[in-house]
Amino acid sequence: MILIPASSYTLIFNGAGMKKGLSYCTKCVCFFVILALLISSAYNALKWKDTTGEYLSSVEQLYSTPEGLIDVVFVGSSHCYFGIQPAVLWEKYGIASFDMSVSSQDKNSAYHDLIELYKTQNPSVIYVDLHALSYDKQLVVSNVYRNYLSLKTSPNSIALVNKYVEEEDREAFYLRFPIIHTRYRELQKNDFVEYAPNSFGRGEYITCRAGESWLDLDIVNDPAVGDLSEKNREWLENMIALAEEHNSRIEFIVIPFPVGAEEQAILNAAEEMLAKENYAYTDYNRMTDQLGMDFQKDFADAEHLNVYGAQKLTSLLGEELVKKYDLPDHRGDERYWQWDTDLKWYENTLACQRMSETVDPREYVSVMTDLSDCITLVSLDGDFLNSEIDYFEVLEPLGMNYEEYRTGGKWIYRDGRLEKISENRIGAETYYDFSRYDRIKIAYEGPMNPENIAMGRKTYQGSSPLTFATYDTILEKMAVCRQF
Amino acid sequence: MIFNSIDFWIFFPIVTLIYAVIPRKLRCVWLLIASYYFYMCWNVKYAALIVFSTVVTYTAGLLIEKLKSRNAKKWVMFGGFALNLGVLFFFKYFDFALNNLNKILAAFSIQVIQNPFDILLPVGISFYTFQALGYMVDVYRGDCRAERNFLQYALFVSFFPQLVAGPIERSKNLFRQIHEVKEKRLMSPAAMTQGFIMMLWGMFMKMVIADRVALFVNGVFEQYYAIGTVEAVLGAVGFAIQIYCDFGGYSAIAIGAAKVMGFDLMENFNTPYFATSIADFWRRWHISLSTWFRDYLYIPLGGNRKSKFRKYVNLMITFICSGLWHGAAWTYVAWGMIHGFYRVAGDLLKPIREKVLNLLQVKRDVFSFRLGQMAVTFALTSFAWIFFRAESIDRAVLYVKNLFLRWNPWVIFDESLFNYGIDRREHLILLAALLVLVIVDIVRYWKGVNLGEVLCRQNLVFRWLVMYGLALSVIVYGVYGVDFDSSQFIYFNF
Repeated sequence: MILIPASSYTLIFNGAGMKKGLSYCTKCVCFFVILALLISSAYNALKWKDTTGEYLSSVEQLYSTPEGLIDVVFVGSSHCYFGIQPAVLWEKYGIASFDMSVSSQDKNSAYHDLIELYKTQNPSVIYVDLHALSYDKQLVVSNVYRNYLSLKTSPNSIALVNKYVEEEDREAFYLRFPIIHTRYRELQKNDFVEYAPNSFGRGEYITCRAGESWLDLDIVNDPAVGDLSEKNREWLENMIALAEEHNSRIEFIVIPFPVGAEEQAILNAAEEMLAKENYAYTDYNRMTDQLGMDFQKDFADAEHLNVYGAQKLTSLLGEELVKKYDLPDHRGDERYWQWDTDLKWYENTLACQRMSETVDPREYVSVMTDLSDCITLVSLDGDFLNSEIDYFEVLEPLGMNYEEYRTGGKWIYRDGRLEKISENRIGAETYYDFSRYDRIKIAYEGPMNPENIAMGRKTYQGSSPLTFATYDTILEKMAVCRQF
Repeated sequence: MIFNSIDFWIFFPIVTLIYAVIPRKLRCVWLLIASYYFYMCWNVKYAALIVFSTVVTYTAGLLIEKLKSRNAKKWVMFGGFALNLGVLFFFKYFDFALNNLNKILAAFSIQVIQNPFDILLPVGISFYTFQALGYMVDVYRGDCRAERNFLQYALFVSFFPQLVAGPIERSKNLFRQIHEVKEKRLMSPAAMTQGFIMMLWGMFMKMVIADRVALFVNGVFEQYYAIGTVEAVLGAVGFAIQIYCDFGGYSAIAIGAAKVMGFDLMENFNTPYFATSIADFWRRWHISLSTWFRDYLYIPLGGNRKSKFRKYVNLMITFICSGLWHGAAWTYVAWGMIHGFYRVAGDLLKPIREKVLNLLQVKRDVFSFRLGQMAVTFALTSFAWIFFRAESIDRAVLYVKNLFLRWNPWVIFDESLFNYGIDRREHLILLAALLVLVIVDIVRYWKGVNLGEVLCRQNLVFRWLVMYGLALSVIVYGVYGVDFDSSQFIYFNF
C-alpha cells in the first residue's frame, strides 16, 4: 500500500474515499515501521555475536574501530587470535595492529573479512596465517555461523555466503533469522548488553591457561613439497591482489602449532610459490628455539598458544616489523584509546592470573595496588586478630587504619583508596554497585557465614579470615576472589 | 510455495499491490496469472492437471445447461465426474489400489504386477477437483448458472489462497465475488486489517503451535511400540492439537489472504474441540469438506430420508469416502469408519443415554454438562486421530493396546516426557501458546467472531500490541529454519 499512487486510493478502498485512504495508509506505514524496529531489536538480541568464543567478536571490534586507525592486520584462524597479541605491539612500539581473525577462519572468510576491513581501514601491512591452506570445509556448525553470519549484510557478505553455502540454504544465510531465531534458547546478558571488550578489543583472545602441546621437528624441517591445490593457489593470489590493490604490503606466516606431515608439505608448496614471486614467508614453527617456546607452559591447548607463548611470538614479530617497516608510534594519541584500553585488559588479565595463583597475601596486595580499572572488596572476618598471619601488615599498604582494622569488617579498595563500608555486626547489610549490572551484598550473618558476601547466587566468604574479591570494571565481571 | 515461506510473503504483497492498482478489467486475469504462478512454483507440469480439470468442468457446465434432456445432462455430469475422478484416482489412489491388488494376488501365489509409473501426488488435487465437481452438480441442479467467461471460471478453480488446501468453495459464493471484481471497488481498510490479523494468527497456529507440538507427536509415534498410557494419551491429544493448528492455521491464512484482497471465503473451522457431540464436531471441523460430502454425497444417497438402516449405511459410506479423500491408506479408511461408527452408535444409543441421564437426574442445561460432553467428544476424536496419524493399521492397533494396557504414571514426574522431541523450555513455550489458542477459541465460541473481527473492534493500541506479539512470536518462536525440519501443511497431501 505504501507505494500506491495517491490517485488510485479511491479505487482501492471501498467507500473510504481519499482522506480515509490516506489515513489508513499512514497507519499502515507507522505499523510496519514499528514492526521493523521491533524485528530489528529482536535481531540484535538474537544475532550470532561471537567469532572467538565467550561473546568476543573480532568483527564487532572492527566495526567499533574509527576509520583509518589500523596500521597492521593479522588475518587467520584461532591460531592467530590466540597467538598474536596486539597489546604487546602497542605497549612496545605503539603499533596499531588488529587481529582480523575468526575461529576456523577459512579461505573465503579470510578474503572477505579483509575486504570488510578495507572498507574503513588502510593498513600498511597485512600478515596472513596460512593455516587456512589445510582445509576447505568447516567441520563445526558453529564455525560456519562464526564465519558466515558475522559480517554486516552487504554485497561483500552476500558474496561470501555465495562462495560457501549451497544454493538451497543461501536464503537462510541472507535472511539470518531462519538460523539465529533458535538462539532464544541460549540468550544471556551479553545478547542484550554489549560485551565490553567488543568496544575496544583488538581481535585477540587472552588466556593464561596452560595445556601441553608438541612439535615434531622432523616434520617441520622436512623439505618435501606437496600439491598446492587450485583453491589454495587461487586464494593466495587473491589475497596478494587484494592487498596490493589497497597498497598494503603482505606477508605470510605460520603461527606455531603441531603441524602434520601432509600440512607441512602444503605449506612448503606455498612457500615455494611465494618465494618465486618474492613474497615474505615465515614459518615460526621453524623458529621455536629462537622464540624460546616452552611446549609445557606456552600453549593453552595442543593447537593454540596461550598469552605467554603469544608474548614471545608477538615480541619477535614486532622486532621484525619495526626493522622492515616505518610504522608510526601512536602512543599518546587520544584517537587510539581502544589500544590503550586493550593494553589495560591485557595487563589486568596477567595481573589477575598472578593474583589467583599466589599463596602470599602480600603479593596479592602488591599486584592489586598496581591494577587499574579494578575494584576490590576486602573482608576481615572471624578470629583474624589471633591468626598466625599478621593481616594488618598485609593490608597496611592499602592504607588500612589500625582502629578500623581491629574491629574487622568490609572495605572497598578503588583508585588507590581504601574505604570501610560495613562492620562485623549482626544484622549489618549494605550493597555496593561494581557496575551497572553487578551489585554485591555485604552483610554480617555471623562469623565466616558464606552469605556475608554475595553477588547473585554466588557467595564469596570463605573459611579464611581475609577475603579479597577483585572486580574488573573493564570486563564487568568478578575477576578473582581469594581467601588467605 | 507454501504460506509459511519467505517466498509467499514476498509474492503476496506484490500480487495484492498490483491487483489493487491495475485497471479493473485486468484484475481477474492478474489473479489467474498469480494463481498459476503460485501453483507452478511447486510443479510446473502439474499445472496442466488444473487446466484439464478446468476445461472439462467448464465444458460440462455449459453442456449441462444447454442440453434439454435430463438424461443427457446426467450423462455429461457423469462424464465430467469420471474424467476428474479418473485423474484423481490415477495420481492419488493408483499405487494404493495396485498394492492391495498385489497382496491379493500374492495370497493366491499369482505373480505381482509391477507399477509402471512413478507418480508424484499433485499438491491440492483433491481440493480443486472437489471444488470443480461441486460446481458441475450445482449447474446440474440449477443452483447456479454455467459460467460463460472461461477466465473467470479458471480463476474459480485456481484462486491461489484456497487452491492447495481449501476451503473448498461453493460456486455461488466465489463466483459472485469474482463477478464483482470488475464492477465493485475493492478492499475496505477494516477487511484488510482483519485479513492481515487472520494471516498472522494462522502463522502463529502453524509455526508456533502445530510445528512445535509435531516434534513431540513425532517422537511419541516413532516409539509407538515402547510407549505407555501417558505418552499414548499425550501423543493422541498432541496430534489433535497439531492437526487443528496446522489445518486451522492454513485456513486462517487462506481466508485472511483472500480477505485482504476483498474476497470472503467460507469458514473452515469453528472451535471444533468445543463440540458437544461427534455430529457437532463435523459441523465445526473442515466445514467446507464436511458440507461438500453432505450436499454432494450424503443427501444424494438418500441422507436420513429413507429408513434408519439406510441412514446408517449412508453415514458409513460418507465417512469412509471422507477418510479415503484424506489419503490412499487403510489408516484413513479406518479413521473414517471410526467416525461413522461414532455417529451410528451415538444415534442407536441415544434412547439409552437419555434414560440413564433421566434416571440419574442429570441437569442438561448447565455448563458442567456441556463441558463433560466436550471432554467426551474431544476424547473420541483424539482416539480416532491415532489411526489418522499412524503409519499403518498394525501400528495403530499396537498404539491403542499400549494406550490401555501400559499404565505408567511415573513418566509425568520423572521428566522422561522431555525425551520426546522437545525439552522443558519448549514445553513451556508450547503451553503458553496453547493458552493463547484457548483464549482465542473461547472468545470465538462465546462471541461467534474470529480474532480479526474481535481485534478490529478494539482500540488501535491494543490491536497493534496483539499483532506485534503474534508477529514476533512467529519470527522468534516459530519452528522454521535450518535447525528444524519444517513440515509442510499436513493437508497439502490430501
